[in-house]
Amino acid sequence: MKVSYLTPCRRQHLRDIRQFVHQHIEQTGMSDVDRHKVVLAIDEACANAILHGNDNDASRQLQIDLFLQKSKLKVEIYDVGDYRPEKKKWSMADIDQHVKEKRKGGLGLCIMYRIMDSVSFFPRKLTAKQTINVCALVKSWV
Amino acid sequence: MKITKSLDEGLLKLGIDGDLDASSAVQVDDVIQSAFDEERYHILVDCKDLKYISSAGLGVFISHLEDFKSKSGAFVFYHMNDNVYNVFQLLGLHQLFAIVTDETEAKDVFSRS
Repeated sequence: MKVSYLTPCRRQHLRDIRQFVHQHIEQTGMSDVDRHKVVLAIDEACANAILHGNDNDASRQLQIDLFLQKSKLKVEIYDVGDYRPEKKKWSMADIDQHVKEKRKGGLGLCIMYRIMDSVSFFPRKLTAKQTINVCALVKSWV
Repeated sequence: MKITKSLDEGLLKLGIDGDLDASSAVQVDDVIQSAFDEERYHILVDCKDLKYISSAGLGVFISHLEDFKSKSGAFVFYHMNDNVYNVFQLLGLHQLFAIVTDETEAKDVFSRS
C-alpha cells in the first residue's frame, strides 16, 4: 500500500508530518519502540529537506510517500532542493566534538542512519528540464 | 510547545510541555541562553509533559553544555518518558547528561556537586 502526504516546506508542519506517519505505521507489525524511532528518522529527514534543502520556503513543497509492506517500510521524500549529504561525513557523530564546538545541528543524519536499515539521497529526473531530490529510507522488521 | 520557568531552592526549573523539534527548539534555546546570562547555571528540566524530542531539541542542550560546565553548572532531566529517553540513548547522551527519576533525585544531583 502506498500513501502520500504533501506539505509546504515549513518547519511548523513537521508535527503534522509526524502525525501522518504515525497514523499509517500504527497498524504495521512494528514494535512501539521501533515505530517511535521510525517517526523520528522521517522527521529528521523532513527537517533537513525543509531547512537545508529549501530554506524553510513555504512556496516550495515536500512530498512524503510511504510504501507499506508486510514487514518492510520504504519511505521516499521528494523536494526541489539539492540537499544530498555524503554518508561518510555524517553517518557517525562524534558527540564530544559537538559539545566542544557547541554545535546545535548535525545529529539528524546520524539518527537516521542509526534507526533505518538504509538511507540514500539521489536526484530523479522527471522531465528533460525537471529534476527532483529524493531521500529514500528503508526499515524492515520481523 | 510551552515552557514554564520557576525558581526552586536557587535552582531554575524548566517545564517543557509538548514536542521539542526543529520548529520549537529556538524557544528553549532562548530560555537557556537567558538563564546563562542571568547566571543561573543549575537547571532542572522537568520532562513530564515532554512528548517528543528530535535532534534539534537535543542540539540545544548539547550546544550549551560546555558553557554551563565552565560555570560548574549542569542540566538535570527528570520525569522523562521512555520514547524521549530512547532518543538520548540512541546517541549516547544518557551518559553525558544526568537523567534521573524524579525531582527529589534531580535536586540531590546538585546538592552532591
